[in-house]
Amino acid sequence: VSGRLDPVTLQVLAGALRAVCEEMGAALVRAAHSANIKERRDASTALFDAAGEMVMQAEHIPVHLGAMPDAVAAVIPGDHRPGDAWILNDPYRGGTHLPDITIVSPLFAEGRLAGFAASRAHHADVGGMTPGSMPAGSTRLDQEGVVIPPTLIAERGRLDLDRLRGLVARMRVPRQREADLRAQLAANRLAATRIEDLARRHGLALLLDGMDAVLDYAERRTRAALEQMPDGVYRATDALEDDLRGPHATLDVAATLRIRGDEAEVDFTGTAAQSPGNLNCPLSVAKSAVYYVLRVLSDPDIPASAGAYRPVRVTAPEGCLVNARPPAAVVGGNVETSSRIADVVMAAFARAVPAPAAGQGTMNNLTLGTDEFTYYETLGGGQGACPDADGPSAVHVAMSNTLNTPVEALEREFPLRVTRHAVRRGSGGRGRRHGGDGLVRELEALAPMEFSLLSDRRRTGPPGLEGGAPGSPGRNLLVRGGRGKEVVLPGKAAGRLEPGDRLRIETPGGGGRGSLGRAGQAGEGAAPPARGEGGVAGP
Amino acid sequence: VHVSSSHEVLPVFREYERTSTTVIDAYLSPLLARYLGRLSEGALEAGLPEPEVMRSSGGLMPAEAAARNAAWTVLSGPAAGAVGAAHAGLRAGSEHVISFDMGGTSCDVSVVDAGRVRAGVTHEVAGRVLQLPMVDVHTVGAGGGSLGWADTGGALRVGPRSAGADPGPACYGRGGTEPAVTDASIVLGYLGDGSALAGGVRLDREAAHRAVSELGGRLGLSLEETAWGMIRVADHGMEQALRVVTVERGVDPRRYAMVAFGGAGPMHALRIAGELGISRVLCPRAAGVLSALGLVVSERRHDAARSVLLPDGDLRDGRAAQEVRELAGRALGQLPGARLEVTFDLRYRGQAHELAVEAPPDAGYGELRELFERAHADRYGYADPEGELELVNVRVAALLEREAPALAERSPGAGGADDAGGARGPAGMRGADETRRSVRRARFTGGWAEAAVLAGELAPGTEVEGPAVCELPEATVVVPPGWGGSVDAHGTLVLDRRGERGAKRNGGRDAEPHGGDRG
Repeated sequence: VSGRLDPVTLQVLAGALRAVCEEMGAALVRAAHSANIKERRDASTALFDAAGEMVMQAEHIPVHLGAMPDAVAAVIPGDHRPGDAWILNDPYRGGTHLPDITIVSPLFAEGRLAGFAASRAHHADVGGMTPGSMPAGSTRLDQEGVVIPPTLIAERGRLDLDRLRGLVARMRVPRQREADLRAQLAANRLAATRIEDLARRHGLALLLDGMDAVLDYAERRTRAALEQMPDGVYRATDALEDDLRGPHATLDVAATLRIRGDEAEVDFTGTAAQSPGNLNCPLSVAKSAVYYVLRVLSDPDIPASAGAYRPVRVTAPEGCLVNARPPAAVVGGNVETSSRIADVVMAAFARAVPAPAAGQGTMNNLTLGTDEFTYYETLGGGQGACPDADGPSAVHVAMSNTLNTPVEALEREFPLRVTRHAVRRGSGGRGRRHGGDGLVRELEALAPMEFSLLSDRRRTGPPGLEGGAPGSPGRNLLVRGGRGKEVVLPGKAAGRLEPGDRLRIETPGGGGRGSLGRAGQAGEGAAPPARGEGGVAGP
Repeated sequence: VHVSSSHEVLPVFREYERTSTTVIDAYLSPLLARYLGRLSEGALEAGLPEPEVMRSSGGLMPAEAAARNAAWTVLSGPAAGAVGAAHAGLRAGSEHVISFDMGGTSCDVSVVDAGRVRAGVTHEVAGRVLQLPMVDVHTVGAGGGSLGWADTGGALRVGPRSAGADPGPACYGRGGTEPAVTDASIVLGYLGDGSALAGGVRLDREAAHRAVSELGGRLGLSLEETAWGMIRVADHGMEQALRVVTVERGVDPRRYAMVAFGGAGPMHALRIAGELGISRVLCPRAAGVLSALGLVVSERRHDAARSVLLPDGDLRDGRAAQEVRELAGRALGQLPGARLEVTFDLRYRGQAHELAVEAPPDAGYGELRELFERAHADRYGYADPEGELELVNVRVAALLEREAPALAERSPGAGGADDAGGARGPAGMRGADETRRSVRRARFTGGWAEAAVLAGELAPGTEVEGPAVCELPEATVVVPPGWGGSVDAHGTLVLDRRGERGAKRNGGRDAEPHGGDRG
């Protein structure tokens, strides 16, 4: 046994720190006002040690995994006092994409800095060229919304209301933004109280040792998992659809995985250069995707702690798609490129160990709104087939981990009608284990509004693994007026809807796994059902 | 063919929760119907009355109604335990209690305010969404059978895997080789050599030591450190569960007494109570069957709910009371003469989630608004006097008391009725005769100590001072140093944390049990 704490105290403190993160998350979701945080829980909370290493994260959104530490690193050089709070969303200084706003608070116990609390939430709007701040066609960061560098928003417990209101005034629905930010501040304050409690109960020295021990423990567990994987160099490449440059243009994402003993390195050399569109992302997003894959392939009960990622190095050439330089636009990078990075890294690991086939590989981001309201949702799809099970259908896959907004809540709150919400039968790739099916969602506008769609895998479906068939690619359709003609939209599209217009989104199925052999002969592989839809819900 | 219809099972807003609940109902109802059918037949043949079934919300319904809507009964067992704890608390003079039920594989905790079990609505059971009125029970996989193990990071873990009843913990001597919490309890002196558990299982001390040592070897810990570690880790998991239902819900546990039951509950309760600042723990005599007692003392109950989505204007026009009248009519049709409890799920227009507010059935707009704003300020820290209200759901519970069964008070002894509940009166000789006394070493937070062991029935008035171990017929109570108390007239062992003064008063006699004149 290594580490300074005995195996029992370690368990006790790890549990206590996890509970603090989860309680922060619950408080944030409970106090927030926007549907995206309350209904879909698009938010994360975490605790850090005084050096800024992430001790524990409440598991909410995978894409926040590797990116939270950068937010804390961005404020560490400051001068910290109890009751301070920092706000930021600049993707090049600790953020991911602008709608994700992070608030970081230093935590004190017995008069000394004990660590940091961070809460991150995806806000329904942060200004910029389109309502919802998820523009399909942005080319510069400042078109995507208000860029907030690390800024002190509360000092010694006093909220700087002028500064807060100044920020939200440049966003749509500022009252809701303020309420959501206050919910984040409340979550951080709760962490401050809980850390003080823990220091009182266990003693500050033991609590700080406990933080170190949790980091070391998570590291040992990951090393034990990597040790089991065969050493070697494994490569994989996949692509994103660059609709901005044309219907056939693509952007490659390439990963080289090196496993050596109990360490791993993922390098993205070979990935396309950063693009004029918004599929770029900071390296923190790429790190999140790598950590996510590692979590999937190792024991899920390893704490979500930065210690778990110590044995893993993530590198990418500067100026490439996954390590972009300002002022490149990034809004699609966080949602779409992150999904592809996860696919590619998983595919590289799949050459070393049993791993699932590719899932839908897109979040199907749909944003609707006017100056009065904004509505954002991501849609589930097929998950890739697993080594020992079929992939689930119509679920949020990989880097997205949100819930749906209930149809009945959505229709009540917004001028929208859901005319179809169904499993897209037959869209999963066949295989010894089948990929999950995607879904079909059709929304009718009841008032004029703008829409913005950020989706991928519209040309080529998610690949299968070991002879399994790929899933069906997704489709975006616009139906003008009552029984109008269907127009196929590209993966990234924006425009205006008039009352009666409908958007129909069919999400990709997951890849299958393992060859079926002669059709219908394989043990677990049933004969493929007819392509079509089933289980149609809605009026 | 059984048919579950969502408009009957859960006629409320939000399609996913409604669908999931209805699917669970459709899945379980035929199974439950078959089982209850057999049970009812058996009861009829034996000349017993038609059985009633506990609802998850903590009230009884006819077996035939349960067979049609199985979803209502999913948390039947834990609900009965919580009602039993509430009852035991009231009989011991504590109306605010925390129910702590630890058995072989899991531990259920819940909160009782003013004799009523806290209820909630949204709930997941075994990862499935089930949105029906339920007691707010939190469950963790920690019980006497939970197994200790070492993970790849070198941490000592306990559960969620359990030894179950077969082979059971190593000490059952039925071939189990992995150490369970019960095995650790033997190493630490909580369960005695050759003592018999409920059901007559004889404990094999050697087997327990072997299993715990073997785990210790992998962790680099001694036998005793390993056993103590297993108890601490298991306790910590349960303490977190208690924090979820108290601190995280804005409830201060220090204001509550804890009712500890289930075969393993009283063995862990006092240490955990100490961590949470709880200063009184009640160990009912019926520790092993408190859930059954809960069933016996429960009221009959019928729940009805409906989504109404009434805007502010309609509420001002008194539409809420009209909706309540309709629902109440239906509920009273099921239970004539029942009293009504009405819950209004309210929110500000534009909010995504509603708050449940209890109010009189005929509550007017002003009253609803005031109650809602108070609840909103409590939960979220502010109220919005200008915000428009929206009434999302109305829920009505009809409750009808049954004839209370007469529960015999424990006789303190031959002629000792006058001693009942007496704090320091000498216990009746016959009561003391039932108790066998001895001493053995046991491990507490401060280290090993000579603990007084009281085995068998404890007569009312019997006093206990920690460190002590009470081997009651249905459970074992571990009393750490600094805790003490006595058995009340109902056979409940009432234990209090001794303050500074108490500790001084008891001076150096901590290891000696008081009361009972055999010593």
